[in-house]
Amino acid sequence: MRLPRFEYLEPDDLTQALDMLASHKEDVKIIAGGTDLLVRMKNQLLTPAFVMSMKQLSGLSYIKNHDDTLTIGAKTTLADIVDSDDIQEGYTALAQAAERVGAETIQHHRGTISGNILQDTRCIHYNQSRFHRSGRQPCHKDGGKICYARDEGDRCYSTYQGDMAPALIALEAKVVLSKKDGKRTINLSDLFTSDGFHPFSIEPDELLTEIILPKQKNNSKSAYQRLSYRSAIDYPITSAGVMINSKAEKIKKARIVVGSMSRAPLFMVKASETLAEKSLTDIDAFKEAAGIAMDNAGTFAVHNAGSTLEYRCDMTFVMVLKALEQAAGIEK
Amino acid sequence: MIDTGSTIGKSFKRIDGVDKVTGAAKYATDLKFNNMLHAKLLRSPHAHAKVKQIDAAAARKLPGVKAIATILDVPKVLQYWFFLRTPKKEKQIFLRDNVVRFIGDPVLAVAAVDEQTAEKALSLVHVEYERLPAIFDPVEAMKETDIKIHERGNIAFQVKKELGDIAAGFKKADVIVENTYHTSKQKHASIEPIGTCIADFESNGKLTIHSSTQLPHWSQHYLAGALGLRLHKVRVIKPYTGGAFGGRCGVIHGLEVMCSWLSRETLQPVKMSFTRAEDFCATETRHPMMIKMKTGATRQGVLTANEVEILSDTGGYGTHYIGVIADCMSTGIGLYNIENYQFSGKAVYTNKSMCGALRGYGNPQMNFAQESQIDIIAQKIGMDPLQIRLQNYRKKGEMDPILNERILSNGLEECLQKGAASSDWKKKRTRQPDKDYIKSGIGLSCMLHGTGAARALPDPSSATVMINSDGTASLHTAAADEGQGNRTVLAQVASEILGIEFENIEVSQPDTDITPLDCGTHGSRQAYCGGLAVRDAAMDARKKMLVYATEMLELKKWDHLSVKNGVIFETANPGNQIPIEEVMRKTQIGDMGICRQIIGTASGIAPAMPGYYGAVFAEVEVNTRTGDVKVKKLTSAFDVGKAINPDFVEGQIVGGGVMGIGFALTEGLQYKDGHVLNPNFTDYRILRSCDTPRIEPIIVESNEPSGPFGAKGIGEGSMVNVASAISNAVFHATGVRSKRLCITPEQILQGLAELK
Amino acid sequence: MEKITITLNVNNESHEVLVAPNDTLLEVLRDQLDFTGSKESCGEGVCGSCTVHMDGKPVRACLTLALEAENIEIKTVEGLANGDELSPLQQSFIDHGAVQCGFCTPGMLMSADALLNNNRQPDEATVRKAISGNICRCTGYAKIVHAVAHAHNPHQGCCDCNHKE
Repeated sequence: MRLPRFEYLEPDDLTQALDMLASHKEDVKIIAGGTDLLVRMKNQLLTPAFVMSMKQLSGLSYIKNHDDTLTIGAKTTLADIVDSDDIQEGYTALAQAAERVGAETIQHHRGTISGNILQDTRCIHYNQSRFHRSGRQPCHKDGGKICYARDEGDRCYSTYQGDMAPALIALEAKVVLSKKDGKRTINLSDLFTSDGFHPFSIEPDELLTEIILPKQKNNSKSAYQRLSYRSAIDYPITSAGVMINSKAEKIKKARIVVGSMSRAPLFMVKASETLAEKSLTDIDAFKEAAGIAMDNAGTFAVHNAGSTLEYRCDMTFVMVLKALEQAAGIEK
Repeated sequence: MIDTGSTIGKSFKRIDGVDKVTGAAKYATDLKFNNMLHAKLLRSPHAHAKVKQIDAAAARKLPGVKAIATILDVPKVLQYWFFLRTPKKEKQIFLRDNVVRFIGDPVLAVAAVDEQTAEKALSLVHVEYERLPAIFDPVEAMKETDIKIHERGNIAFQVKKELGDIAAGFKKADVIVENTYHTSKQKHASIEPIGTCIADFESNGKLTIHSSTQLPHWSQHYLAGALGLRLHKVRVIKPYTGGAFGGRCGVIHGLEVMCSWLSRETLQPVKMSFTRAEDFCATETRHPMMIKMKTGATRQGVLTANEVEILSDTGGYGTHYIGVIADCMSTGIGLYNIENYQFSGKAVYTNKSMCGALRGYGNPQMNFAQESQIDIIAQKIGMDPLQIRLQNYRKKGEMDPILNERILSNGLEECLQKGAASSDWKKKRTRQPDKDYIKSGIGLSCMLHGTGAARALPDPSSATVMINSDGTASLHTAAADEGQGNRTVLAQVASEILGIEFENIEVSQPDTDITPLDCGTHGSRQAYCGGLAVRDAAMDARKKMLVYATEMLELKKWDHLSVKNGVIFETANPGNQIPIEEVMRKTQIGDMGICRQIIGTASGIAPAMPGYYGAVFAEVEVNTRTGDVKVKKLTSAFDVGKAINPDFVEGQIVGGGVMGIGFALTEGLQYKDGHVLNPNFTDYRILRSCDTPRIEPIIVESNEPSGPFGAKGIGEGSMVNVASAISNAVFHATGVRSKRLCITPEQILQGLAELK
Repeated sequence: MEKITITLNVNNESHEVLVAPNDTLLEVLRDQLDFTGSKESCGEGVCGSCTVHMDGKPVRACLTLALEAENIEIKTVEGLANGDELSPLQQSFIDHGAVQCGFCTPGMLMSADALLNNNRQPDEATVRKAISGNICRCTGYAKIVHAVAHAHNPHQGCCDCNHKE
């Protein structure tokens, strides 16, 4: 399979990179590890005029421990995240998520945290060869007016199947978006638009440069669980990132995020709130929260990830529950 | 029989090992020729349509485009070599029409100076289609009368067979079990995608094809027929091949014939390579089947009757639809002695990619149904599933009722006993307390598969052995090696008989100009059929060699001589000896004034189609929260007659085991409106190293009298009964009886909910 | 965009090649430099047949732009042996019957070689994880896993290790 033609840009440093983005805007796609972008380009889902390499931007590869935060450079590889003691201990969910992406030898050395966060939404009807798509009307994400995943679907319901974002949102991550004339810091959850056609709110001239993780007060534990058919390669069909903040065996704050069920990771506000002031060993409370998360997430999902919708909903309950049990330290 | 113990039964290292670990081995996709053009196919975007008109004028004008061929010029080949022997072969094999019958069916091919130009040209072609209604469901296809996928209708083939008296059989039964089973559309998914060839038509009218075919000689026949050439003008060369599993049985739909046509137009070599998506969407698959089975047994566990009704979905075209159903008909009843048997099979066309041969050839589908039935019966009458099989299997000396052949070897009992011991069957069969939401279980199943196709198809094998003047030998055989290790095994056979060291024997790759007629590699046949041909060719050469040696050693009778490790000696007086090298030098270079090379040849069909047997014990853990089935271990005991190379036999058992787990749990093409939804390795789920359990191979040797050194087959059988064993284990673990492959987590959870 | 000349360092030798931005490393290795050991099977990074090393790390040549491989040490399967002398890993593959059709073998070797460079005596689970990005359709992986685990740690009766826990 050959790639379509494009012009290659290789900025020497961040300033030059931001200049290039400013001048080419939506005509440029950024290649970090290439594992998501190049496959889409080979299938001609994308045919950018310019591809900008992050190869020389070695300054964006770091994990730094500060007083109140931990910061991760956008180009940090998944392997570096898995190997980091700071992340393994303080942000377990993130390490678990990184470990479960793809397969070790494929994604972990080339794949980057920003590339993983910004991987496009997927749909079994859209992520297909050009030949497959050429024999039918284009779907919403392909620039058309039809949805093959949902009858009468009036918009794109492609699913966000990234692993790291649900974990990061549970951990209250923020991201830094830089551009030529400045930068802004937003909650990672705000990076997602919930629009399957345009899943991210990042502007064409912006570059995701850093991920900021706050340090939690109290006793804070997190976990990430995902379901897939095989233990390598497969995208999750549902996933859960959770964080539990507790004091004296009582939950002070919980954050439950469900992934791979909608166009964006879903922060389950109601399910999270039910856990406040519950005991760390209150299985019934966890089950209730998981049930609410399942019900709420179920309303967003469509049949587009290879297994039945009902199954993915049922499993959302299991994944949330498992993640909560793990974070609470009562996993069987 | 000669058996010096030098080479047979020893795990010699494969002769192509160094080539393959250094990257030196050249596969079809690695080949380049001067002046070579690249071809691409335009495929139908419609599941069923008539091609009314093709406008390729703009494509022809594109600089770099050299030739265009369309289905209006080039016949489609429905490869099934059974038809080669029928009077109507022309009509049955070569289909000339303007209808496309599945999404991806080739319409036109372009040859250009490079791939990009060829692709660009395709985008300039305008095809006018008349769309026809499409049928995707085989049951609909059978009923539907208005929509005809082929002129003759939608039923490609049907057969009925009755043995004994089926009604009487059910009368005798205390228990009758009736169920309907479904199996998936599995893909070969060989790691080298199916579909690369280079066609080189020279101005002298000779066509040379480099193609990864399993059946070089039948490819030669098909190509000659499609292009109107005589056989001596078609040369098929098979380079290294990256796995086949039945997917390369002859020529590939839209590949070799198109390329040859383009090469004839341009007189330049033309190469075409399918992408992985093309492999998945537009080359042959396993036949999905719906199998209704009604089985009766007495309370004592005697199987009294089996009534089988199969509906096989052959897709848009039929290639092996007859053989695959025939295999279902013979393997089930061949395995067990069931007095009353009724079989009916139908193959129907649907507008999906065509089906063909895939490891097991109908048997895995049939086996899933029948071994499930027997398990259900055992449970109903409270009998150990091991016992009911021991009690009913067809033993050595009995007749195979379909093949009409006496069973000369059958090691199934030993397979069952050894497998049971090694898997700790008795203990694990008693229910263990479950670990919370994980339930574990063990199940078993048996299988019989035929070696070769001597009773069914034109199935010749030939070999030529040439002994060189320095005492080395060259073995010429078209026994295509797709990775199993045939070439190595056949070198072992030749070495044993010639007394020439293994490392001094060179084995050719198939080349129809040089290697003599061989049906090719299918039906687990090469150790047996190829082995017989090589044995006989080597015996021929051996005798000629010993005759000269007799003279040199001043003896009277050649059969008073033996040969081992490169030395010929008087059997009764080993001190009286002469090195092969000396005999060969004298005869060939001419000390004796002979100047003659010793060449041994053999050609013919195997005397039998011996069954080989296997028992698989599967241990599973079922997660009742997620429905996930984990296979923890397979114990796979197979009777291979004689393991000429035990290491390779293990390789087949373990490799087939993993393919069988895939068939049971994860593999199958999914469709929506005729489009394959999972034509890639992300969504078509082949097991990976992390998900593969331990598979313990157990080799049983029953010594098949008709085989070379007692050998028979293994390649296909190793996957045949894996799915049924897993399904039986899942039932043991959970009480959920799966009647549809793949056994998905959804199915398990639904089954568990129904049990409550 | 115009093609440009770059230098690729493959198996310790420099090669000047003329590449377009959309040429992958795999295409350049196979089509221009004749390193056909690296195979294309899926073309989208999930089968592992095209695995090569870049600065010692296993990567997919089919998802790497040739331009991105400039100034990086690339190693392919052709660079594993020392002249005619096979590496212990290559020899182990042959000895353990880890090769059947051979099409996945180059990629398997490169994934395994990267593992062994950091861990000469990996246990079975580590090996299985390290090659989980490589599909083999013939062997069922068992003999490959043993070949890798025992590449630097040969023991007697090794070919039977399939039968042991």
